[in-house]
Amino acid sequence: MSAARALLAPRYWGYHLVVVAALVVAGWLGLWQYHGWQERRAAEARDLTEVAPIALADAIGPDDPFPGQYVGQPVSFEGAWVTGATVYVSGREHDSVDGYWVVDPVRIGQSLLPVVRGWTASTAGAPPASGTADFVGWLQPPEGTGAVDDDPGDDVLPQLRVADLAQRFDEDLYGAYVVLRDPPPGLEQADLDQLPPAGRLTAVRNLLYAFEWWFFGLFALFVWWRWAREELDPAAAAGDGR
Amino acid sequence: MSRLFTSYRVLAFVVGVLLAFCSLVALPLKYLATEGGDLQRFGESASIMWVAHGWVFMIYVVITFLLSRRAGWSAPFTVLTLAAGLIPLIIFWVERRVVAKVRAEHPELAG
Repeated sequence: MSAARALLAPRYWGYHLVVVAALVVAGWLGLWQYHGWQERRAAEARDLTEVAPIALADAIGPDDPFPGQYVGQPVSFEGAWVTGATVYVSGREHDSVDGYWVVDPVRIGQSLLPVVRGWTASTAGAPPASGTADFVGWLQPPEGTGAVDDDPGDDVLPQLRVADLAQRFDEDLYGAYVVLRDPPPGLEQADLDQLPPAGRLTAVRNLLYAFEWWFFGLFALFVWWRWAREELDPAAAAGDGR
Repeated sequence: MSRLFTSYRVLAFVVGVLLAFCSLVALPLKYLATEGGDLQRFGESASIMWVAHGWVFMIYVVITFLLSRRAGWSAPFTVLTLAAGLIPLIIFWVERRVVAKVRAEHPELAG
């Protein structure tokens, strides 16, 4: 009788069932911890967008490269809208509806900062921006998805890239953009493209527990294998002495 | 002295100390000490030791199982030694029983 057929004898079914159950339970508990790890990191990223704003100048100057640690950082600044310079960025979802970001530059000193004023379903009817104001919004790195503008003549862009905007203005541009926290009437608040990075150790306990559970699943399999070997061939199992 | 037996004793001791610290020091401080106080915060940060216990326990389980096969323990005794790593303080007593058992039945393992 072959080893595999011997193990299929009904008197062994109980053992096999226990191992399968142990594998399922350990795998499931590991997944549960793994999801907990992901969720807590996402929650921390959301929390970081709700910290008190810092002055824009403390995060980035007009000619600075984008400061990686300030992705999604709330910033405040004072500036003046550049009137009549609205552009729309296409392909932006909000509540599962495809629409546009309404982007206008704000003049801060000698430089322009692209500001996402809000989200709209169509390119018609965005209220014009004008005047000087104090702003609060979230700092975001410029995009560069390589999307091709199928009609460079209009005011609709496929992405918020500083190089694309630079062709429209003579002034210096910031290497960043800001999503406005309080959109003007008629516009919805635009969703942040890039949330702040969660700390490397955030919820690391959950991740380590996940691996632990999967390890115990493997251990159950190992015990089963040793048991099967001893059960089928006690002499050989005892003889190898390990 | 066989490496397996020595490893078992060291791991049992480390698991026992970590488990005692986590369950008898960190846990009560975290939940029973005054909220926000120094002791309570210490209990909370010390809870990270549970992870250390978990990972050392994984190694303990494998080594103990291998020792159990080598020494030919019964299934209940094997399960008892494995589970001892999860019950505070019990593991110190179980470790002494294991040492006595191995010395009596398999002196070649105990050296």
